[in-house]
Amino acid sequence: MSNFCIKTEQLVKKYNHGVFDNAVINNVNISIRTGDFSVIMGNSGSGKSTLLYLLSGLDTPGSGKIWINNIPLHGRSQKDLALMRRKMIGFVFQDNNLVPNLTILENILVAGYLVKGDRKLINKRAFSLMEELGILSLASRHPSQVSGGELQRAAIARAMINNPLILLADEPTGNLNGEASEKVLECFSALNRNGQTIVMVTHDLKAACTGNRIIFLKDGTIPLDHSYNIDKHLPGAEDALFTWLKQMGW
Amino acid sequence: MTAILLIIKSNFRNKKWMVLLTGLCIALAALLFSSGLSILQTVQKPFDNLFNKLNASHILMLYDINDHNTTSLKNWFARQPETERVSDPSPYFLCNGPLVHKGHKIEGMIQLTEHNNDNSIQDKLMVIDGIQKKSPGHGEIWVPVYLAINYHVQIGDTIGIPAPGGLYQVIVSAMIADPHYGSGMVNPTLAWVAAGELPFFVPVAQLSNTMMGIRLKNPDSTAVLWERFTRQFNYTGVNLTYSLFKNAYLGIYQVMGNIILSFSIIALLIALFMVRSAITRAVYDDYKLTGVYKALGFTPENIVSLYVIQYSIMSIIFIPVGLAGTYFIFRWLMGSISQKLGAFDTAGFLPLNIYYYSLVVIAVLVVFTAYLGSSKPAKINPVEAIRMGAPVKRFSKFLLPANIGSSWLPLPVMMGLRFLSFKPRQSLSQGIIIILTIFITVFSLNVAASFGNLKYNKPAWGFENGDIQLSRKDAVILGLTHEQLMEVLLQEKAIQQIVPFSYSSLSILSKEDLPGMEIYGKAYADSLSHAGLLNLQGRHPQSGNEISLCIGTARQFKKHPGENITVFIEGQKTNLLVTGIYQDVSNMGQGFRLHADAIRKLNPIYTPSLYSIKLKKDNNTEDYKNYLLKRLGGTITIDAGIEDRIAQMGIISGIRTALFALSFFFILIMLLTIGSDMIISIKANQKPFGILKSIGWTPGQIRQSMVWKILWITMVALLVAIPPGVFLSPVLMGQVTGGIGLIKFPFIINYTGTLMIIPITLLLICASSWWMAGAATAANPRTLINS
Repeated sequence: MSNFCIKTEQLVKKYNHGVFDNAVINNVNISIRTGDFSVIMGNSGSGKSTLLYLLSGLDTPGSGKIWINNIPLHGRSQKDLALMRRKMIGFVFQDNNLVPNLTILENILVAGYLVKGDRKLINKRAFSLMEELGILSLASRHPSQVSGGELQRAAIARAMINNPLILLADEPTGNLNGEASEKVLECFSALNRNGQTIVMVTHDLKAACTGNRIIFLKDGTIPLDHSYNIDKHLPGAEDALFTWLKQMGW
Repeated sequence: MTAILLIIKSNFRNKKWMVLLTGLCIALAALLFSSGLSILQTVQKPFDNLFNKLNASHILMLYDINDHNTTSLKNWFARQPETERVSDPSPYFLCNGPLVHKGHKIEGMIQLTEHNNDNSIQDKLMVIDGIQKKSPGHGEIWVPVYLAINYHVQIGDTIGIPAPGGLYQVIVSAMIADPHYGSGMVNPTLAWVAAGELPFFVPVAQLSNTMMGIRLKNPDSTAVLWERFTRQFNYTGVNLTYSLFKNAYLGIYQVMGNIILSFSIIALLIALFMVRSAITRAVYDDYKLTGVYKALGFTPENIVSLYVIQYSIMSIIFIPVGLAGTYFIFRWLMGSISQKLGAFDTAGFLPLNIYYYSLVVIAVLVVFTAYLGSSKPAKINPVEAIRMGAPVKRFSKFLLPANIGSSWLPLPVMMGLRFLSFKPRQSLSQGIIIILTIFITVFSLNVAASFGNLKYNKPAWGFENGDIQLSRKDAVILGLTHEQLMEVLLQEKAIQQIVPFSYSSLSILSKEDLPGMEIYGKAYADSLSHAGLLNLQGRHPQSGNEISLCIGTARQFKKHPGENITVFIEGQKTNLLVTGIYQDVSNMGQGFRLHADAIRKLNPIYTPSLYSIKLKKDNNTEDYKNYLLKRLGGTITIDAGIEDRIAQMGIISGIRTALFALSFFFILIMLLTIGSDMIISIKANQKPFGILKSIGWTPGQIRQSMVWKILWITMVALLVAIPPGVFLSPVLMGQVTGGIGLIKFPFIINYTGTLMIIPITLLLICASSWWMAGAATAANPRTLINS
């Protein structure tokens, strides 16, 4: 288990719809290695985002177990989960969800200051991340003054400020145009190249090809053969992935 | 912590108007609360301070030296363990007419007293303005500051004293502070002349009155000492005590303090309600963000502390703003009391402990409310919040008007009704605040009117209903006896009713374990009903064996009509039947009424010396007073009526100011809540407004619909608040004024004023909400729909 930074066992999440329960996640077992860039794909309503929220500890499973870096998430209080989240998990949403009345820099620092540490180092890291993601010049601007792609990069910086073990991203390019998407995906690739473990949910084939492993979720389950390794260096990787996805029922 | 502070900073920026309005409401609640407390807690300090500083006597005895031996009285008191010191007697002369200043009369009875050497030790006077010297010089007069201010008397002015030989001119050389008589509420008022001055203008034969003071080690021992004294001496003079002087200054401020403190609690509840509403709204607005904060690693405790710290900061900022207001109100009030006392230095009386107390109490309440309110966002499920945003609020099923199609109302009026019926709870809470404000305005207006109309309703306040109160002067050589004066008065065609009476005092002997108490009252030589007097229970005393008690005395000694009471009167112990209970504002609920026969049977030579005269209609009171003075000359004096004395002391204007200030603050609070509600409504209805604009509504129509929403609520609030305002105000005032002897407040309804509240409230709310609704029309429809 030591090589896996995320591991789940018989994970189940049901939603009650009056007279019957709807299992959105049904006995899901996944293992994600440290340094992986895993992409969760699936049809609408297959439970992709739910799985991501379960992995982040934002949502709690009905049954089953989750370990992050060998630390169990299951059975923990909301407070413990929050404390774990601030140190171990970074989250990027489809909507950037930046606080509108804070500057870009402040938005990043809000997450950074949650963890006790040297303020100067946190500030330094915030500037370094902004530089790395190409948004340094936007530090003092408010979210309403910058573009969607830049906002999403700011959201990535916010997610990365505490050097999380895992970066979770829920459709990070879903609201962006092609150029902005590319820049954001490039950021993810760069982070992954530096050893960052990333789990991303997406619908977008191009975005999915940024990762190195695809997990296909079908009706809340992941059959054993529903995992696909991408070789980005091979030509036609995107087509190959498309073919595999079609086979899976995408 | 810094992360939380960053979010709070963002909240302050994002909701600056809400923060400002809620904060101002907290500030106003703090202002009212601390003002009420300050008045109640510290109002007596200036008095006690001055009293001790001037080594003032706790008992003042005014008597005729022909009736009592000063040496034996002085020696007796000096021997008593309760006594600290007995002053030397000072001769005095009660002027038989008003003083004359620059051709104008100074209303009220003036007792000219000689200032002797002993006054530099006991019953000292503080010279506030004028030449600082030990005593007034020959041909000079020292007057109390309140008198000088009310009649614009200045140092160096000449005052004419109505002496038996004509006006005796003296020069005002000082304005002084006098804790005994400086309030003007104790009749007569003392003015001081040099020792040996009185014989210059008063025949020596008329100078038989003297005043002697007894300073006690502890003012609480007054009753015990006086009871012991009356057992040994058949004292026929007048005695005035510490509690009377104190109440004369402070009673009305205690009423004001109680009213303000009571209503401040309502203001505080409104402020807390606003805090709660602001948080509820913030929870809804920031639902998704709260989920995001949780995703970033904010714990539920962090979310709670976010609101708690935010409102702690607001408390720290806004409560001191309110307390600063209190500082100025307090300075004004203390200035007013000090002006009456004649002491202008009030710096030592700032109630810092009350500021701390108010700050802590209000801050704790605000923060606690914020804590309770923040439990909701702390429980927000982050996944639902991020993915779905705030839950859709359910609108009420009971919509007004039920069928828009068949309604004849104009569109904005109808939409106003719809807006208010969409969220009935929000409208209800808004309505409650408007109801409270209208109630307080009705209350203030009518209570102020009741004080203002005191002269038309005197019996309800405990006074005789006479137009003129006349004093007969016994000690004048060529004076009139009671019978002679009555004979003269009974022939007067302008007089409808004469009720002779006199002030009297008695000791109520209580059970063995309790000390007796000296109380002051009146003995009437005619039916008390003729004087217009009223009872709360039972009937007036009709014979020498009966007594009616003032409500405070009856309660203290647990006496009811039909029971007996043992009293010590005219030096003798006697049993009287309690026939009635009445109320009287003049002596803090203490007092009694007797039929003169009760005194006559113990003192056969007793005759009344005061006359309450009711004139027939169409007689001018002032003209008739002048006529009587001309006809009866030095044999009588005409006392200033209670209504004149109260007006003179600025009590009515003081109460009016306090009540109007109270209403003003509540109207302000109401406008703040309407403002905050308007901001909330505009935010909540941005999309509908955008849609309405896009289909052709004009900005004016949108504004009108918002205004109509508040106007509908206000119209209902007016209907709901005015009747209880009219009917409950006397009940509430009875609770507040019970302590000063008025359990049934003499309420007079100001019908015109009360009705005027309706258009003024509608106009005020219409104007303010129209102005505030401007924000709804500022944005363009596209932005509104997108948002």
